[in-house]
Amino acid sequence: MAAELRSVTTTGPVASVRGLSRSFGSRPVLADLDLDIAPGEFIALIGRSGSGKSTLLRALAGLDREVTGEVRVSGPTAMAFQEPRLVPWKRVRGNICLGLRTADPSAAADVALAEVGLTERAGAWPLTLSGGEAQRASLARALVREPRLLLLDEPFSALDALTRIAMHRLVLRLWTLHQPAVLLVTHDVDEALALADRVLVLTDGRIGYSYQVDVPRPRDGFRNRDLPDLITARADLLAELGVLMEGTR
Amino acid sequence: MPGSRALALTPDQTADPPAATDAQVSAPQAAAAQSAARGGLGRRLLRSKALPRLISPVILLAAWQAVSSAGLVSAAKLPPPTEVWSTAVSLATTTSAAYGSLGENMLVSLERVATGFAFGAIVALVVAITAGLSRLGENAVDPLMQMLRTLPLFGLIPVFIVWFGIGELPKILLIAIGVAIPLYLNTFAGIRNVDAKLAELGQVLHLSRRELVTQIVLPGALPQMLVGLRQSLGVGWLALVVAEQFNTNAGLGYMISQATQFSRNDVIFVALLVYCVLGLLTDALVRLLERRALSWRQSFVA
Repeated sequence: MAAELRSVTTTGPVASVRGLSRSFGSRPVLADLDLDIAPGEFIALIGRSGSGKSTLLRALAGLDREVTGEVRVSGPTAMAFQEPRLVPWKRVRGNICLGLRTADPSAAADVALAEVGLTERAGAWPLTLSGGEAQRASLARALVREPRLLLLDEPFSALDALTRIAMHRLVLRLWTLHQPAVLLVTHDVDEALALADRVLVLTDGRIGYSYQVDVPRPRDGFRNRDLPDLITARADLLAELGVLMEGTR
Repeated sequence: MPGSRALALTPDQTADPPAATDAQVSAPQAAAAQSAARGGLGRRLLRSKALPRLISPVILLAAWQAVSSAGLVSAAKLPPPTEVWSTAVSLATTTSAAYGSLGENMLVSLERVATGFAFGAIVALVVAITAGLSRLGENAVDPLMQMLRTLPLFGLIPVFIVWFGIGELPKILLIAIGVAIPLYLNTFAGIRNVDAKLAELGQVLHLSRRELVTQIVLPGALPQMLVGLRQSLGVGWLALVVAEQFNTNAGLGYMISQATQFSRNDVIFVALLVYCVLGLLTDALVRLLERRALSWRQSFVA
């Protein structure tokens, strides 16, 4: 079903946002924001805390009804949250199947669980999973819906450094396999540069800065340090975020 | 102790959630539970739960017997356990003119509490789910339930007698109201306390309203509902004891009021102990239910 949708609508952007605004009380968080996401594009969205990253993501997920402006998303959307949000009284497989409208949800769930390496935990209760396992289950639950747009709201921020590296690789592998457009919200510049095609900085309620990452993947871990482009980009991005690096400026 | 909890509960008292009780498992108890995991269900229950819990009641019983045997208290005021036992046996095996038979009285009482409980529980669940799931339902129902909650339950007895006479109806209604209130309050609170983040997840996963209620809201409210159920059973038994002492000609309460007239404390003790045992049994039933229904939580505790 998703494949058909994909072929029908590959021409335009997966998501397009025009003039999006949102205020909390008197404080504007998003102000007249424009954004286009191309099919299969991996975008990382960074910004200081409170800059509206999550607000934008929630608007795209249809979770925020108070936004003004235009949000157009074509095709199925899935989202993974910062905390895995597994339903504690459903076993892992049941969580993946939740609300799934395919012919054989259970079989689809098993495929998704195999993809994230959780096959042997399919029958486990969520409260017995480690942080990394829970986040992988959450990813599987999002991907099993074959989204054209995958929204990731800081899904790795609560994980330890080693697990995070493993998750980065997993996300890239799944992205290559399923080719959804990804919008990853993060506050980690290195994570953004390791994963994304395009890094966007959200400042003053709009996309204030955009950086196209033309370095081939994989570019995680120590390899980052050896790539001059990424080192400059990192300094630029940090400067955009208001963090000045000693010796680089 | 479950017995005291079952009998002494008032609607305002909050029983500790099952997770908390299980968290207090002592080291030898945990070891027993582990070794018992290999045995069957019955044996497991007996070894891991029942045995260590039996120690303090047995000591109490021994102390009671010792006090009576030493002649510190007169048998008329506090009959020794042996006398209570022999009275129980004779009440159970014979039908006396004054008290009827123990078995029959027990059945009558059980039937009253079961009818009242079923009626009260069904009404409470329907009303709580209605109120929990919609603001309109809450506005319609919750003020009435809150009013009913503050009514002194047993103050209703004279009114009920005027309205419904002295038959079974006022007794069963009293039990039903006693049962309904804690179950309503806990179910309503349980529904409202379901994590809003899970409701949001339901939105992201495009769950239907029906799926949201059956997969997220009601299972999420279940732990609190079960706390309410235990309180309800406690109040149900309490209401039975009170209701049965007025204008009855059968039941455990009838035995007590007859024995009061004949100054037979041993018979009163027998009736009270039967109430205790029945209360304990229903409480154990709910604990079993909790163990089954909340196994997702047990695995976290273990």
